[in-house]
Amino acid sequence: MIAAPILIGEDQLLSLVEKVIKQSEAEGVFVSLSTGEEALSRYSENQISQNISQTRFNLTITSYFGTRCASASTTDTDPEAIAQAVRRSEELARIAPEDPEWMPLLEVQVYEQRTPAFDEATAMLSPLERGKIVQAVCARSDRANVDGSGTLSTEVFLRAVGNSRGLRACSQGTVADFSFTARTGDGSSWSQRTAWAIDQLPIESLTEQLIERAARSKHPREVKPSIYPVVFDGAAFADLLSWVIWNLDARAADEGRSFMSRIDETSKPIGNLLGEAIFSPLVQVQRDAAHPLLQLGTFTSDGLSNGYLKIIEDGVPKNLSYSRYWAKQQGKEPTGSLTPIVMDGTNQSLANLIGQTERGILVSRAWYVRYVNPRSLVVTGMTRDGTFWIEDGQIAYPIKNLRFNQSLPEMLRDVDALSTVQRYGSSVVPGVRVQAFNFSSVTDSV
Amino acid sequence: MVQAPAQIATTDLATIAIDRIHQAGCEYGDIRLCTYRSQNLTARDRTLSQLADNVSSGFGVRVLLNGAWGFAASHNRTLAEVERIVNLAVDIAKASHLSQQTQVQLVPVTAYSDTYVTPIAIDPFSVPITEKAELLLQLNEQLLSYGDRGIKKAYSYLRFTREDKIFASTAGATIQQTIYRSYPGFGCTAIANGDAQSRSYERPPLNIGYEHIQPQDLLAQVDRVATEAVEKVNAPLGPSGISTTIILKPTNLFLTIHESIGHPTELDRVYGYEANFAGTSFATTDKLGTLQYAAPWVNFRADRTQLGGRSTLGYDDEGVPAQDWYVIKDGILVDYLTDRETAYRLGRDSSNGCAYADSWASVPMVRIPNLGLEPGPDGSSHTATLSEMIADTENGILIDGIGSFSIDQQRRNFQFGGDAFWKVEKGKVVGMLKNVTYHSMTTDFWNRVDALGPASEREQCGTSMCGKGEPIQLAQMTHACVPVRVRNIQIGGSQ
Repeated sequence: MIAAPILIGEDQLLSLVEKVIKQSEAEGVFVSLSTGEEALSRYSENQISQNISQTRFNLTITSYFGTRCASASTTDTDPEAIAQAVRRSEELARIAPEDPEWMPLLEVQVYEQRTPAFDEATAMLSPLERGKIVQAVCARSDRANVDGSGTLSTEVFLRAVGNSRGLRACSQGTVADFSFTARTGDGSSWSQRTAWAIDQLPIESLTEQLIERAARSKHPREVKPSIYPVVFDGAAFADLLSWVIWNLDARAADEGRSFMSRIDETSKPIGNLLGEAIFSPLVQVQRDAAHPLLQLGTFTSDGLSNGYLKIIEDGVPKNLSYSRYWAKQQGKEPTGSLTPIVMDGTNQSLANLIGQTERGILVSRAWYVRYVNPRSLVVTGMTRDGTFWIEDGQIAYPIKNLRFNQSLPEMLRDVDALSTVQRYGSSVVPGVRVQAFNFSSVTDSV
Repeated sequence: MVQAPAQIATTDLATIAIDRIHQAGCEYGDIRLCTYRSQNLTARDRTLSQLADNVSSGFGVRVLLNGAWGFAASHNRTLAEVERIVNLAVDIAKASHLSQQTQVQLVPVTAYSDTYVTPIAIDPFSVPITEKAELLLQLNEQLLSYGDRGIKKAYSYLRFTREDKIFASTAGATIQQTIYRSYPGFGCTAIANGDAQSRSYERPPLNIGYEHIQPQDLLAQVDRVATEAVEKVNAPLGPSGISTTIILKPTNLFLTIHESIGHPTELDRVYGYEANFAGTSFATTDKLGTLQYAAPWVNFRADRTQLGGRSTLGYDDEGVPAQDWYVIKDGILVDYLTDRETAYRLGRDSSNGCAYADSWASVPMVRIPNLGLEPGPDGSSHTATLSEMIADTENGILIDGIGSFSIDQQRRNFQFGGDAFWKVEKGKVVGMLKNVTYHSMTTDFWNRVDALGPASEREQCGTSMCGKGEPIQLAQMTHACVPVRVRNIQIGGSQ
């Protein structure tokens, strides 16, 4: 049986970072290394249709000469290939134009003192064990007479960064993810869960729940596109919230290119809306890699700490994403990326939220969400895989899928209830209820 | 892992892998050994924010055992790793078999031994980096010189790739291919009136050498692009809640083709392989040969042989030779995009060669090939040049470039934007609009096309960013097309 991942340890990875830095002839060098194994079983029509394993390694070297820099990468672990990548980055850096936004190499950082989650059973899960789990899901789908499709994946990864100023960081971790779509006639349902250990995934209960929801979604009726209250399943809301967080870039806000831009009476940009109560006071969002459901690494890809950071508190944006260059220009501390995001929930279930809703729409999944207006953060997208009409605190009947055109800042302004949180990918979010959400057209697509 | 492995020739690794697959009793297997070199340059304002030269190499082994698939891949091109990966792929296939209800079967393919190299005039990697960097900074500097008129941000980019792939299969194929790709473009943002609006220009992503870059053409577009960005940010909002005539340039239409013709005719989607993610299709096999997908004068042809096409190559990632075929003929759905597995399910005796994997680490799957809209034939009552379409339109909107795009999971309900919009009134373009989207159902839209541009107005537009699959893979393809005019399309305001 060939199951054990062929990986090196943190010590070896840091040792390789050290070796590469020593090889450098540049005035400064930044090294980023990642390696890992990902296995993913994909099934449709109640059987595995694609089943893969990927063993990966990537080394990126960024060389600096004065304010000139360039990078080169390789996936080859051969010392000669690594040496060639180092030389390639140096050759490019020497002839690169001077960078007016150049920043000196990052100094040694202080990271959170904690160990990211690593689950041995997830790292070592064999193809056969994965196949058996999927087999059980497919068999259950078959018995329920639904067409089941989805994925089960596990990943083990190691990442390290270092530079010639002495910066060093390394972490390892595991991720397991399960997604399932149940289709039956003109009914469909979907959801997803992510965890750092395979045994934390509620595969059996989620499968049951989605099979039941698929049956309830059959024979959807058409409702007139309009503005309605909406209860979002957490899986759907996670997709929408991430668009807001991506758009909390300080430079875009300060330059007048974002919904966070502040403009004067002559419509000129004069900074940003940090500190303004622009969202519902229920909205609390933070970067929290240490959250129990996440327990991710302690640094971002550029070596900055990804320590706890308040992003939105009581509906008030408290921090934007500042690059090192823009932070220096504005006299702020650099934040790096605002992910992973965690939004606070409550102890109410999604059913409680539905029970408190007089009339509205339950959205299980948001699909193909794209900008319509990047400046105001209006997006469009579709509902999918289980859309229901809510009447008098009950799911009344399934409805046909709808297209929405919606300002996402206004969506966060209109949040009036939250449920418990779940992890979806690298985000932890609750289900939410929104007082008003704009649907513009309907489709027959299931 | 970081020790120097014993080096062994790539072709020998392929031979050894195929031998091991045979020994494992698989009914089929293949190996792809690939090296991708990519050079990416991006300039933002006056800084070259990205100058990267990346090499990714490794191999992927796919086996079919007792009708079930297994795939494993590794970056580590050593004999020991090839043996481990073949064994792992076989173990994975055994695990796949646990849930197997219907055995996978493949249509046959001739075992080719061949080589293919993208015809190019200038190797993009032979051109000095300084020349490339200077071009981008010059473009941005010229765009930012419109700062007093409102241009506050500029970006430009150059993308080059060389893909070296060796494919070998238990069917006896040995195919070596080298594919070159080049792609330049730039854009800018005007900020005024509490708004920000962008305008862009690209020479479309093509499989071609550095001769595609054409610095003089790029520089010659700067004035128009910057001026139009300023006009756009000061333009009135587009109308909302009306139906009107739209005239789409190829730079906009290619994406509508991609989403509403390309994806619905991927046969793996039709069969439900993508039900959990990318979605399925309304264009089911019971409609083959009968569905009036488009107006009778509308024809879509797939062609992986067309010069420069982004998915043009010698063979697909199953060793099937590049070919061309009609997908929609005289408005009727007549064929699909297949790999060997889905072609078998459809009852065909061969695949039309749409298997593609975006990396050595990725498994091949059905991807859209070059898929183009045929020009209107000379003399047809539905053929008109862009100028003639405008002159013949009482009220309408002319759209250039791509913007917002979204379509439902079975590819019916879509909403698209654009990069620039002009109001057409009484046969003339009378001024820019902003924040326009058009919305339709796929077959309604294509059946409302009443004019097609002639062959002289055909452009090879396309995308390098088509996402599909889990884990997601990015494919690249060209949608050569002509301008079209479409009647009675709903316009929704996006303010």
